[in-house]
Order: sequence, then structure tokens, then C-alpha cells
Amino acid sequence: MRFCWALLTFLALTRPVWAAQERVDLALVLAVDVSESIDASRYTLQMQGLANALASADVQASMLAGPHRSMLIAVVQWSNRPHVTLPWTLLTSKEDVAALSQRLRTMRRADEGFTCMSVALRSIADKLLTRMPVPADRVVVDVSGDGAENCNPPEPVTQVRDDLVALGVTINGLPILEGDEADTLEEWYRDHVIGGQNSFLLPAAGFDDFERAIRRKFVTEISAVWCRVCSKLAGR
Amino acid sequence: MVYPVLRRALLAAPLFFAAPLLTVARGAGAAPPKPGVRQVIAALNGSRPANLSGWDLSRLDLADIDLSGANLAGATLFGADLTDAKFVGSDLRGATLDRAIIIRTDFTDAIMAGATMFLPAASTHLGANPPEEAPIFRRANLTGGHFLAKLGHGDWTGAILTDAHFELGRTEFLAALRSDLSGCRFAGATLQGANLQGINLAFADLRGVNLMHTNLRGTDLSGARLDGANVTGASLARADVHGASLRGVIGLTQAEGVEDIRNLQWAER
Repeated sequence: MRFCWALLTFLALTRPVWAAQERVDLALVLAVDVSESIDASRYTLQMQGLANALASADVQASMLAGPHRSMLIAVVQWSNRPHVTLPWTLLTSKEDVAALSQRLRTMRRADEGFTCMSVALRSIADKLLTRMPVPADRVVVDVSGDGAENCNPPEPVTQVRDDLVALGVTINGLPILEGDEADTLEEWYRDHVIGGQNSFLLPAAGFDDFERAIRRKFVTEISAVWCRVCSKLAGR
Repeated sequence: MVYPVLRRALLAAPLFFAAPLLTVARGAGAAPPKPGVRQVIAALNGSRPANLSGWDLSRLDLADIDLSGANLAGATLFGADLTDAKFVGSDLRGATLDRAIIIRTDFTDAIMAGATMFLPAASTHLGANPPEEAPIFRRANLTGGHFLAKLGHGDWTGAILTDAHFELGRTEFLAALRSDLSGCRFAGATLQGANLQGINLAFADLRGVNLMHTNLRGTDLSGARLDGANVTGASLARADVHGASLRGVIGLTQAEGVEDIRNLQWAER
């Protein structure tokens, strides 16, 4: 009898957190460019920027402000091929968000190489979104990077983008305007990357501006406040 | 008058006899049309174990996907990207893994009897396979399979390779394509009756392995550890054992071609 109670207690404690969660407000994929142009310091700026944004009170408040008070998040680092460096993680409290922020600060870089965005988005569509532990009211893929596709992909980025949009996914873009492609990247992201309902583009004026941009982007896409400023930024 | 009828009957006869064969061909074609990755994931998310038997998964990007326990018997994985994929305990009987990318792929406990693996990519490097990228075949059953592959430094502990073939037989033309199992670990594995002729087994760990009636003609066993291995009835002619450890090898006197073993004087005995 005692053994049965111990077993039941163990099962209750070890049950996946999302077993109790029927639905979340948002499933957010952070697709982070780790191609060769992102050197170690830029990688750190990106990850610290993400971590700091998640640590901020306004982002944490907006993350848990929906009717289900919860969201799913996953992190994909992509260059030659995508790497799921954070599988689907359920956030239901500020402590969860703070723990995630801490995890991002120490997250190891997965790869470096070409900018294979088409392959990354295809992998997200086929392998990540198909394995969400609970359904979400909205699914957003958040792509950031400092360069356009340069990988000779098996299918164009726009085709994968359109497939994702057809699935009801919103793709937002955060082009980092620094380096050789600074003048053209915003336009390329607008034409090739973003799509879906209320999608928008929020460029960062270089890596030093990444934290400000991602924080603003988080608040916008998580709270789904479709303001006039966002409409202007989206331009579509 | 009779002639046209007879002629028509004779012409129809082959179709009559061929009808069962055509039915069989249609039956074989009853496998689902070529699925995409989403269909594979849907099947994996559905009933357990997932039944992907006979599916054409050629050239699909299945990297990082966990296919453990799935039934993939007779499936075609030609050219599929299986990097970091898991096939733990999967049924891959008769599956085609030719030209698949198997970097760090985990085949632990998989049933791969009769499978083929012709020139898979097991490394991102052009030179020797780095150990950290080697696929894992721990306790896998590869009985009667056909493999021509560079799989150096892999983990084959406890694997069953009975009657498996690792060469094409025309090695004089395909020396550059010879199988490479150098540095692999075979502790507890069975290689009885396997054809390892001419392949590279340098520095492999074959301690205590069953090599009875194994074809090791011309095999590079330099630096390999064969302590306690059983080579009864094995063919060892022209095998190179330079620097190999042969302490306690069982049945060496009953092996074929012992007199033609190369560098036997430089082996530890």
C-alpha cells in the first residue's frame, strides 16, 4: 500500500508539466542566425540580448497576459543546418521565464557556416511545429539574422515561407543591419521572410541595437497588439 | 477459320500467365505515395510502434528525428539525411540505406538483417572519420546485410554481423571504395561467416569476438586487438597483422591461409 502511494506520488511529480495544460496563448520559435558572419562577440550580443529581453518585466508580463496565461517557446540556431538548442518549453510563470533567460545566457553555439534560411524554415515547419506538446492559439516564428540566404537551397525561401503561412503560422523578421548587407537586408527580409497574419519586420541598427529591437519585438508579437507603428513597420 | 482463334489464344496466353505477376507488382505498389517529413512525423505521433514499413523515405531530411521502435522493414532511405536520428530498437529488415547520411545516427538494438548500406556518409570530413561523428550499431542485428562504407571508430559492441558482407568482391577495381571499420569496437560482437575480405580493420577492437569462418583474406588488421578471438575456420591469407595483438586467439591453427598472413612476425602473440 505504501509502495502504491509512493508510486502515485512519483508519477504525479514526474508527469510532464504540459500534461495539465490544454492550450497555450502562443507558440514562439526563436530562429537565431549563427552563420559564419556571426562571430563570437556577435553571438554573445544576440544571446545576451535575448536573455535580457526575457528578463525584463514588460516582456515577462506580456508573455503571461493571455487568456491561458502560458506560452511555448523553442530556440533554433541555424546556419548550414538547423539545431534545436531549446526544445519546446512551457512557460507558465515569471520564474519559468527567468529560468529560460538564464538558460539562454549559457547556451552553447551549435554551428557556424552558411546562411541556409530555407532549410531552417523547412525544418521548423516539418519537424518542430509538428511536435508541439499542446496546441497554441497563435504560432509565431521569429527569424533574426545579419544576411540573406546564400546556401543554394533545394527550395526557395519564399516557398517555405508561403507553406508556413498556409499552415497559419506568422513569421516575423529581425534583420540585423550591420556588415556588407546592411543596406539591402531589410528589403530582402520584407520580400522573402516575413508573412502571415499581422507579420512585421523590426530591424536592428547593428548588433548593439539587437537587445532593444528584440525586446520591442517580443512585446509586440507576444501581446499581439497590432498598433499603428507596427503596421508601418510591417509595410505589408 | 481456326487459325485466327488459335492465334488470338496464343497471343493472350502470356498475359494470362503474367496476370499473377502483375497483381503482385500492383500489390508492391500499394505502399503509400512518397511521403514528406510531415507525414513521417504524423505517423510517429500516431500509433505505437509507428508503421513505416515499405515507405519510400529517400532523400528526406530526417535529421534529429527519433524513429526508435518504428517498423521500417523494407523502407527506402536512399540518400536520406539521418544525422543525429535515432533508430533504437527499430525494425530495418531489408531496408535500403544506400547513400544515407548517418552522422551520429543511433542504430542501437536495431534489426537490420538483410539491409543494404552502400556508400553512406558517416562524416563531415573528407579524411578519416572523427570518432565523435561515428554512427552507433550497439547490439544491432545486421545478419546477412550488405555494406560498403567508411564507418571508422564506430561502436559495434554486441552487434550480430553473421554472414554480413562488407566488400563487393571486385576490390581490385574498387580499392578506393573498400569498407573502413578501422578503430571500431566489436566487444561481444558476432562476425561469424561475415565477408570482411580486403577491408580496413586497423586498430579495431576485436577482443573475444566470434570470427569463426569469417573471410578475412587481405584484410588490414594492423594494430587490431584480437586477444581471445575465435578464428576457427576463418580465412586469413594475406591479412596484415602488423602490430596486432593475437594473445590467446582461439583456432589459429585451424584457420585457412595462416602461412600467408602478412607481418605475423610483428604481431604480439
